[in-house]
Amino acid sequence: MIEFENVNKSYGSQKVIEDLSLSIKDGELAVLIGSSGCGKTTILKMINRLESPTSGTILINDKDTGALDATELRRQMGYVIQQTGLFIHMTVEENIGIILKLKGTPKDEIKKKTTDMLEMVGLDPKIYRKRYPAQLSGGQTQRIGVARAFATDPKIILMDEPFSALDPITRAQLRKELKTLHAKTGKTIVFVTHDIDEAIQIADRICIINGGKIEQFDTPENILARPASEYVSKFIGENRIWEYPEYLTVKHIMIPDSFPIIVPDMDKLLVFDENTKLVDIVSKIDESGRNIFAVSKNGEVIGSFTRMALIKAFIEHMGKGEE
Amino acid sequence: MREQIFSLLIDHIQLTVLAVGLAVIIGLPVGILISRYIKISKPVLAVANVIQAIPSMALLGFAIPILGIGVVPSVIAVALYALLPIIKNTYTGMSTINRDTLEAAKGIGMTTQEILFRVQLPMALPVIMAGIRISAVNTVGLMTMAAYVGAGGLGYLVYAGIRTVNTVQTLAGAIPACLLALFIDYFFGLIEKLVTPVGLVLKDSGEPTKIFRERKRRVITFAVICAIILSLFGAELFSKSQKADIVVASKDYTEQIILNNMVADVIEGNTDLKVKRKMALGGSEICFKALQTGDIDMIAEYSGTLYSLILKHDPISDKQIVYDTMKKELKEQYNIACLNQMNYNNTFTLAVKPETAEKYNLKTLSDLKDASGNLTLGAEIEFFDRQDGLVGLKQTYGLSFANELTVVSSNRYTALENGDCDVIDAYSTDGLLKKFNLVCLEDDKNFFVPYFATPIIRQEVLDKYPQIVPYVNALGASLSEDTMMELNYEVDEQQLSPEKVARDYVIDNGLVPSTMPRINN
Repeated sequence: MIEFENVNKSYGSQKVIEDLSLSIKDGELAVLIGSSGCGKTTILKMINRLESPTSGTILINDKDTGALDATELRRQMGYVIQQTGLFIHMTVEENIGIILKLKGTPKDEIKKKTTDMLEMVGLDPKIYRKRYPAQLSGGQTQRIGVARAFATDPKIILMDEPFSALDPITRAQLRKELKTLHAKTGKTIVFVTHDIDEAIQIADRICIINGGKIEQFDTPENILARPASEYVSKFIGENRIWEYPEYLTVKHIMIPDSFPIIVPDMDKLLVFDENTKLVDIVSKIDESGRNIFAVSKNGEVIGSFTRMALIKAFIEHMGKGEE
Repeated sequence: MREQIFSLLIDHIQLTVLAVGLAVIIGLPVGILISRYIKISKPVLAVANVIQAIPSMALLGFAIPILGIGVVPSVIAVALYALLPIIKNTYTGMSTINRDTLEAAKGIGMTTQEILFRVQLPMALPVIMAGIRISAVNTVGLMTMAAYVGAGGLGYLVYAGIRTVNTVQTLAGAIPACLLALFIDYFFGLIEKLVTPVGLVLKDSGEPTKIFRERKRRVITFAVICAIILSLFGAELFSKSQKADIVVASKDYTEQIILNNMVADVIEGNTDLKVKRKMALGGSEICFKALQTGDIDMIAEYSGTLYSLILKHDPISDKQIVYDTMKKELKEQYNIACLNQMNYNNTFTLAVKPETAEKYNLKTLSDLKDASGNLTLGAEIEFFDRQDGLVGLKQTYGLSFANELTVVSSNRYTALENGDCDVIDAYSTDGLLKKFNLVCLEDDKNFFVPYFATPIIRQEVLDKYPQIVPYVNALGASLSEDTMMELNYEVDEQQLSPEKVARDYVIDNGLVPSTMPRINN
């Protein structure tokens, strides 16, 4: 578990992180996101002490990172950056195995590990082992970067906008592969990005940061459906949830205050709580054969929606993207 | 001559390697340091720049009083010049490494030292090697200075050639030096390419197989060249390891080189001692210092020089007093022994053309008194100022010249020929006196300080090898002003090598066994 307790960071008189407390659970993929200069990278770098807090503590599994040896700390984590930071004078194999080598791991063990890592990121070891970074494409270098991060079998992996410099197709591919990898290995991953779609797609929880403070730290669903502040909704964009229909709730398509409802068969009127997900009720609506449905909140009816409203809403909002 | 060139070439290479090696050992860490602490980079680079701007000879001059002569001051002085390119290139190479790479290295858990040796240095190495290459090429050229302080090297031939106006000899030193510089440039360029990490080459160009093949070829070339160089050094080292028993030196002008070669010859020819020759070492003070420190063991110097310059007495003209004082004080103060004075006096004299001598009936300096009013004197600047030169001369002989001109060195003879002057100062054994068939005026009042050639030797060496004494004394007894003049003439005019002239003399005059091999020119 990674914990920030009342962390402050200033550069001279400029306050970058202000009284920040956060808790990242073991095995979760937490995404730090915000606009440029919000402090997300600084927060990430405080975990492996590339930056130090001006005040406050950072604990990893209840141990104060400030008290540990920095180099040892870093060796127990994986670290991937945007430009990869691969050593261009070393082969792929040497890059992946560098820390193992420095730790004194025997040669054959290193060889086995590099082979495994290359396979894990989907590159044929026989072909890529002896290649140099200059001979690789952008996507391949990032894969090697990930392989290097995983090579020491760390419990925590830090990633600083690792896919931001790649083309959309490769980016999408790598995101998918990372999510699979995360599911398979169960490591704690802290991931920094400025791309909200990326965050929604891979995160267990998203941490939205504004001016060195946390706006909301919650699941993608909650952030989309229940933004905690105006900043968050503005940041996400009002229409973004429509790109993730699996998170849409009844609340999004309801016509508020549209009661009393006079319909035939009032007793057969279906009432849904406002937070019911549309995906869960689509078949029910279909089978019911009815046209109008009621929406309730805390037991009280607050609005209604029609079958047509559902369709209209989709047509209206789809493809509008960010606003 | 070819052997000499080869031997000097090896010397030159060794000196260059030492200087560059020293510069690398100092410059590389300094360059790394200033790339890490940017604040000190400016002052350090400024200092290195200033050192480079100092004229090389001046730097060497500063070094000699502190470090003596020979290998040490020349290597250190030249190494200082080699510093700047190395420091600068190391600094540049280290500073221009991608910041992200360094951050990644730190972030994945590499220590500062690991980053330095495994990331920074390999990536900066091509630029650093380029700096070393530039340094090495510069050093080859500058190292010609080394000969000036007796460290050997190709400069010896260059200076000798200049001094005796022997263009062939100058070129014999200059051309190999030039070729060596070109070779060093190529060789270090090869190393530069080899230490460039393959990954960096691939980044800039492309085809891997071609690059790997070229690399292999370069490695083989490099190995072959190294093998050749090492074997050459091995051969030279072996021959040098035959250590010398006595080191005989000379000052850097013709008569001295001939004279001391003769001294060395009679020792080698008559005993089984090995003599090492350090000819054309420099001036009187450099040679005497070398004698004190034991860098050399023996030199045939001049009594007047030792008496006035070294022992700092006011000049007198009594030959015996000069010798006795000199012998006593050198022994007491410096533990240096004097052998017998040789039979010729290379002192100042005034010379005139035969026609002038006839016209004014000049045989001695006293004869000059009346005639001087009609004559123009052309002399070296040194002669004018000295009490034991013109100043005292005029007083003693009551001379008063119509005109007095300062003329540089050998131009005096030309000026005399042209009629620009009528009387010149000369050294009594100058070869050019013979060439122009001049008349030397006799010092009938014994004004001039005696400069009798006298071999001086470190007492401990003399005690070890007393057998040399009779042979050296015999040599001294056989010489005369005319003989010496003749020998000088053969070198200065006829362009024979001083070694050959010396060897021929000692063989022809039975001072060595006739089986001693002669020397070709």
